[in-house]
Amino acid sequence: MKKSINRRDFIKLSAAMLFFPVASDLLDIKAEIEGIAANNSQFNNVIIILFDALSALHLTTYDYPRSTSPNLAKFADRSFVYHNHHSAGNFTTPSTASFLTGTYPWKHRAFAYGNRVNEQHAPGNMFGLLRSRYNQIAYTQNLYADTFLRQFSPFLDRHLPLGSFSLTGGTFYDNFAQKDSYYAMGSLDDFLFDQDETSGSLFLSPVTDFISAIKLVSAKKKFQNQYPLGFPRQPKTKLAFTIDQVIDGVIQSMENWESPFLAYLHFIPPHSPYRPHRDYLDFFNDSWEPIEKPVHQLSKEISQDSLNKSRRDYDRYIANLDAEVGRLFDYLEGTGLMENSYVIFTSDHGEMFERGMRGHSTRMVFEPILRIPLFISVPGNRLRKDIYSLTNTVDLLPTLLHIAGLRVPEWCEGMVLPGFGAEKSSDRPAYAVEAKSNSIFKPLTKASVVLFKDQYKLIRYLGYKGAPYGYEFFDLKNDPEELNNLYLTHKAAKEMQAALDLKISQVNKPFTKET
Amino acid sequence: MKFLTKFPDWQASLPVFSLILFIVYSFTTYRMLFQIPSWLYSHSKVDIFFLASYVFAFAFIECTMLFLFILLMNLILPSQFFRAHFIAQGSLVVTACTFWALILKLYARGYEFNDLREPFEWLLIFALSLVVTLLAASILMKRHQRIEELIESIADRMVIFTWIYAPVGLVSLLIVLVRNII
Repeated sequence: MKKSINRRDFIKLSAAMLFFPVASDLLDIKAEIEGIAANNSQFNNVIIILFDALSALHLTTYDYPRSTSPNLAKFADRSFVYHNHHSAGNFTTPSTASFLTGTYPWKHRAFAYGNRVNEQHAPGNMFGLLRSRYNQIAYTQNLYADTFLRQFSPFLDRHLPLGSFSLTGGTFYDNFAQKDSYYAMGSLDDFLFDQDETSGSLFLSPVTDFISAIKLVSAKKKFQNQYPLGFPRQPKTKLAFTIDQVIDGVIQSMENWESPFLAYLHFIPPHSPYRPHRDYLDFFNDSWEPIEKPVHQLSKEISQDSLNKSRRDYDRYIANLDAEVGRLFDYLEGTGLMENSYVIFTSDHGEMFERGMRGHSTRMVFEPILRIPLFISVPGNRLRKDIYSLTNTVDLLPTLLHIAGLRVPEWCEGMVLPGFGAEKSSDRPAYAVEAKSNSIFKPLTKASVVLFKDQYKLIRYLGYKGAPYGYEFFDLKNDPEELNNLYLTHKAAKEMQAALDLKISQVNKPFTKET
Repeated sequence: MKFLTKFPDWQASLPVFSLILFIVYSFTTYRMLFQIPSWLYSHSKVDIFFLASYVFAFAFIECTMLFLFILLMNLILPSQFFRAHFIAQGSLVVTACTFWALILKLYARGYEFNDLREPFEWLLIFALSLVVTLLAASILMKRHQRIEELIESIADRMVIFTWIYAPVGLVSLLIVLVRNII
């Protein structure tokens, strides 16, 4: 903890005070906190390691047929391993907002690319609530996750810029408009100089592309063509990187972090483009092929051959990042940080290579996109504990508050994770929401909403053409591949439909104009 | 003061700058039309105003930079060849740059070079295409005076847009500066 208040702290405190009137309303206490490590938690660090677009179903620990992640498996052997953990959204913006606020997308309203958490719930973010306990450091390679870090920067002690450790410099908003990054990001990086879409700048954009290409070819020479498929890239930006340099950079930065700290480290691999180091390009030239699933009405109808090829590249990229994560874990072990820190390994969402769809830019919400890994290494524990209860991204914030000995606010929609004091959670409902085409100011009318309960999963498609019946229902225990839609025949389907419809009408109420 | 005489006068500069403004702002506004529906879904009117301010401020900077590039060409190339026909030659440079920019945007987005020679080869092709365009135009204009008159008259008609785009750009620039200074 800091001993005196300097000018920077005063500015942060002033910014935090602006939120105080709202925060005090939100901080109505509900939960009676119990469980491990409450008394001395202030002496333990929290290190959150999040890899973007990492589907749990592609990891060795979760029985994937390919050995993609031996180092993660080793880490899992000393951790709490959550086998039924789901993301609250199917891409970065809603899921990261849910992670950081403990609320579902219908509450935080970060539906689409580049959205922020709405002002009402912004004060209830992880960094704001844990400010009194930890020195807080945050770093992300994801442009959209950085929007949240910028939004919550008054509560951060250190925010590493998006372009840190990259081969090609920084973003436009970091370079030109740090004070006004939200608008600069939305207009410059996400429109005028957008790398992935046809950008809005006619002349400057090709010039900046040209300069980036020169930087890249210089880097290529320096790295002696270690990345034959091209360097890994941070989507929507001109930033390229190598995974080992990023991990080295983070390790180097860690040496200056003052304990107790909370570090949020959000790495972009294995997000597309899948570009592993050349050492991994020969991996998985095997005969294994996944089960071929029927093409979905909401898919892009990509051929199975093409999907299998992409899956192989994705698996190679995971193998590459696993080796680098292994180095990071070795560093944590070697410095003793593993022993005195809660190390949380997870992802924001998954990735799919089935039903005619690749990636996660979709309205579909099948398990490969929503099932994400969650391993938590607890100080003083070296034994693996497998947990099969239903858990969700929104549970991380209440768990961290619990660890820090703080109360869980009533507005929080998550609950303390099993293993940390919430063992009896088998009948809790959990949700996931995709609503990128829905206005944040209006009720949910164009969205895919998922209700998980026990072993069942109900999907409701709102406002989309082509979805069968508007609902899909799966028994995940007996049909983990989601091949049989039991909506019309299973007796639990109607019950869950009523519950989900009620929930949707409740969350829509504040946004529905009374007539 | 002698140095200033190397530059074209105000009457010759304005049509060329206006043509740049017209092309850049038309393209950016056209692209922004695709962006606005998603902005409306998730941004307040104030948010959209500030986003548009950044877009138009940078569009203005873009125009200024391209105009400075043309002034640089004016300094480098023989005055009888370029400055004496500034409106026509300047407009042709703008057109050639637009052509190349569109080609690059359509076909070379995300392109990665294989070795360090490649970017310089591309630069050489670009420079050669400019020189060829200007030489061909120069020859044609010498033979057919009406071609130069036609180009000048088109550029001249663009001046009207300056009275819309230039204030929008300058006010946007001011907004961006104020937001980043205060």
